[in-house]
Amino acid sequence: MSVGKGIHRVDARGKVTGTADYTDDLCGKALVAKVLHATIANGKVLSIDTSEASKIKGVVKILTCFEVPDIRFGTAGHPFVLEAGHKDVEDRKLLNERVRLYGDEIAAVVAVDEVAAKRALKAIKVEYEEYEPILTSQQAMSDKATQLHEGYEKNILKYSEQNEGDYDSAVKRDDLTIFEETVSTQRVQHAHLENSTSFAYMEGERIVIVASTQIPHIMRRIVGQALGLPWGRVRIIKPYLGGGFGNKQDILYEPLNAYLSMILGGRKVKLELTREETFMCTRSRHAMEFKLKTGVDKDGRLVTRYIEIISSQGAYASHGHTVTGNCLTNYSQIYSQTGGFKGQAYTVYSNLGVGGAMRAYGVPQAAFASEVHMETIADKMGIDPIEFRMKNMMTSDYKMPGKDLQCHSTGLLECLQQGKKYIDWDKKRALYKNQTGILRRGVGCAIFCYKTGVYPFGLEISGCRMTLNQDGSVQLQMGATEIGQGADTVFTQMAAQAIGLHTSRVNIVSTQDTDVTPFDLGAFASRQTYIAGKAIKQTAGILRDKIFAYAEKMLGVPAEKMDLKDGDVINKENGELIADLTVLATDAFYSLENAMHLSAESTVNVKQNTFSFGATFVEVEVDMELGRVDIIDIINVHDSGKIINPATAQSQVHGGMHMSQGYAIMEQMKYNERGQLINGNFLDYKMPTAVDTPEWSNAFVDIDDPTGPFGNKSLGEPTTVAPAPAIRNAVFHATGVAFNSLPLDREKLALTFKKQLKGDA
Amino acid sequence: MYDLNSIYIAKTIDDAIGAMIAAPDATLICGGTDILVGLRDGVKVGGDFISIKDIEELKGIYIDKDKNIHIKPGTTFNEILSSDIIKQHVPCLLSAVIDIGGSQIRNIGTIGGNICNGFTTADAPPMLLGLNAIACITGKGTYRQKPVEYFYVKPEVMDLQTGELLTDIIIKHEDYSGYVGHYIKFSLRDAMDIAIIGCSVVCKTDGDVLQDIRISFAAAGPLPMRARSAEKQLIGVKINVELFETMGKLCLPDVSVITDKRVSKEFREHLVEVLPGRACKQALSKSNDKVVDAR
Repeated sequence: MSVGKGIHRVDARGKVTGTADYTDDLCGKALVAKVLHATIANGKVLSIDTSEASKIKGVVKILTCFEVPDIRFGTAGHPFVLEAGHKDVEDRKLLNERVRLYGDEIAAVVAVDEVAAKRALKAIKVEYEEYEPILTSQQAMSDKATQLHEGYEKNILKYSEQNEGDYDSAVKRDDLTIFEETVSTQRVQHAHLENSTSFAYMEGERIVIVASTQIPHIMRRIVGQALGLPWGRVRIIKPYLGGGFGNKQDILYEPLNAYLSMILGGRKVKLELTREETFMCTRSRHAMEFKLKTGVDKDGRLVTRYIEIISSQGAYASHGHTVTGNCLTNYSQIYSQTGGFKGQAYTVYSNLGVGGAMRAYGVPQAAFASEVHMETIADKMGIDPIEFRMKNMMTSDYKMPGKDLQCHSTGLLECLQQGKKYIDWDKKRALYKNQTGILRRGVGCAIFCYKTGVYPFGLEISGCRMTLNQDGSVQLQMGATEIGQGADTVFTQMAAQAIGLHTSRVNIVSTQDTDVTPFDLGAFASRQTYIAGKAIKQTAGILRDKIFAYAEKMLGVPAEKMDLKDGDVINKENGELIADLTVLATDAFYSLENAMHLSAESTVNVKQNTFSFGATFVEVEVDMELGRVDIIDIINVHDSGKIINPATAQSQVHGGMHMSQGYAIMEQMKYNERGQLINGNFLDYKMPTAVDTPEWSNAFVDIDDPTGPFGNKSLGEPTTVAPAPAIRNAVFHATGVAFNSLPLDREKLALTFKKQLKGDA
Repeated sequence: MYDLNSIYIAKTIDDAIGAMIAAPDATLICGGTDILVGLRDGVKVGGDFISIKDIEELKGIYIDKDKNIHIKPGTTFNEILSSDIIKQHVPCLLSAVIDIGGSQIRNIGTIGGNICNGFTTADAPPMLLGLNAIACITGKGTYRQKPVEYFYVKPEVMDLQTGELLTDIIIKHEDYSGYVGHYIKFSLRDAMDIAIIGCSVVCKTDGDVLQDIRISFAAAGPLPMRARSAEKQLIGVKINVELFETMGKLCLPDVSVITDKRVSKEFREHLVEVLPGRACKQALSKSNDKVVDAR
């Protein structure tokens, strides 16, 4: 059995020894492109003077926003939608005259090297017409605000509602206690190690782009759209990736990179962002503001729930309201109510950095809102926070009204029970009551639910190809992508198990090349192990049937009697060896009589989804004077169904917890009054370093999901959902101070506690 | 790829002085940990540089016959951290150096650069001020000494004439003998960060009384500074819990903190109130032979 084993990553050797090739490693000699970024947040480019810049030695080409094709395109890496009304918003060109972001792309320089390109950028003179920057959603929706995009009144990108039951009459019941509060979350960034990088060149009439992307097939479509090219004339190659976390589920600079090569006769051009550009001009996690109102009956059962979400989109639509919508539905799902649910969600343009896909896609915000709110209600009603959650959380009979989405298996209760025991909840809740002094401790928890993939909200399609080699090993090609998360390793394990081979005899082709790779949507929505797993299982079945058919021809044994185990074709009734696969495969390649290449390829269109669950339990120590939050102990307990590889799953959990720790206590993108990002570098954008990072603990409840190809459910993104609210709730327990906005940074905490300590004295 | 016009690698102090006189606009570079970051940001791009990194005379730590400690400015932070002389005689300096940058930065960044950048946020200077360290400045045929505290002219400007460079840092025996000290770097995370406020306390006790105390700060004003009015009020005071709780407040008139993109003035003032007592307590609790966690 390969599935369930903690085998080493299949790419470990290459990555540890430095032989694994990333985009930049593959580039070789190329021209260098650099982008000129606007130095205003809202306005218009009136003129660009390139006369001095073009004289600089080594400059090959300068392209301005006045010279690009008049084609608007959408950047979100969603599956293409055939129905007219549901297409992604197309709101930008390769370079833009209308400036909506401090850092907007207004010109590009191509030069023989970086120094020449940078010198040219400095020499370009730009004249702007400047408008007042729009820095908040409230400002954006006011009558006075300039309209950033045509057709979007009050700068509202989209508004949607979600209603269940009869909220309006239920909320009038006189036996309810109503709880209202506001909660907010901040803008943060993915901070993947490898910045956005690509290079492009032409092969005849076709454009080739080698890019650091999570979604090569989607990139082909969007580049085609952005450049007005037939999609078949675009070829995308995706090598190893230095992380994406959703930022590379957006099409950023690749169309511009391709266009620069095309206007230079197909010469190879490289476009690599700096970290500062990545911060300023790529994507981020949406900052959201929540208004919450909940009615609870005397028994502590939720009766009515209302939520208003205002999501700060920033300058361009990107994934836009899809993220806000996912936030809303997730908020509706994790708890149930006996009366009614009402949700209203706005996504609002502004002149801030663009919100896009980021690990867990709106769910960290939803969980922060719901877990803060549940903590408040439990506290005010004097109910233990765990008991309160158990009474109201999603159960196995959940079905989403009007959608083909339901719970198929849940270990959420077990997650809570295990976490509670691990952290020694009852003892510590009592022990840390009524503390005084500078150092105070507390424990907190938070829970979540998470879909697996995008069905029924979007398409779920995945392709897989397997070819048998002469020695009986198998080449495995997936449209689904390795982006550092370990996909290639679990694909290898699933393929080995489904075919009946040892993992060492499955060779996965890591690189996706849209000319040869099977079609798949790519890495997002924690979908791949579930969706691509089904493609692997189906394709392995086809390959096995072909192997058995060949064996029947070769040996005369009926195919239906055969099984393939550990590389041997055996009799499935008595386990006796029928043929060694190596012998059979060699025969299949070279038999004068029967030779044929045994291969299988298939696609699944998955119309199914399932929920994974989990909980975080944490103990913190708070320094009331310095505003420090030190994590004493923390555990994530997950129900992600059957775990394919416990070792890589654990790495996923640790990475997700680390990301959420930063979200909880440090990270925040900060803008000045001009709309300029002021901490867009790794010194001033605070992420926890190794020194700041506690020991991570994790556990899996390992419950079989009936819909998962191997009993598995989503894991990659869910890991980063619950730690932040759990840490916040632990700080609440330790200090009695309810922080409803993220992050719980040292300044905010210290100054808040200072007032409280004064009050105490 | 860095945009430099030229770089001259000096081999001796005299060689460097000659190069500086020949190219007065050139920038001196040693560890380069701040200058290279600046170059990425467009500071001094296309400029001329003189490297003093290979000058052997600018490296090393020794103790002279008068028991004065000499730290040559080209000494890296990690060399200071592993120096037996420092560990034995001025272990409090370790607390000021251990949290500078990351390990790679400490391998290449130098104490001279930490001073001569003229940044108020630098971590080593407050402790050097607390140890009354002396800067030795060499020029073409000239040599002079100045307390490090007065070596600063204004932010990013040191008292250096054309052709002059820092060639030695001296900590006198009378300034460290019998003293204990501790530096707390308060930053927004615990590594690879810049001080929001740095506070160094160096003191000497006589029984349960503070015989001498020198409090200095990073990032509490335009330059590294001593809190002299607070010091005056604290000399001769009895050491107790109340002292630790109140000494920070005495420093407030000495500092002039500001709001910047990192934190507010209010928060910095709060830290000026909180940190001296904590640093003093740490200094006094130390057995003087090990680096204590700077928290």
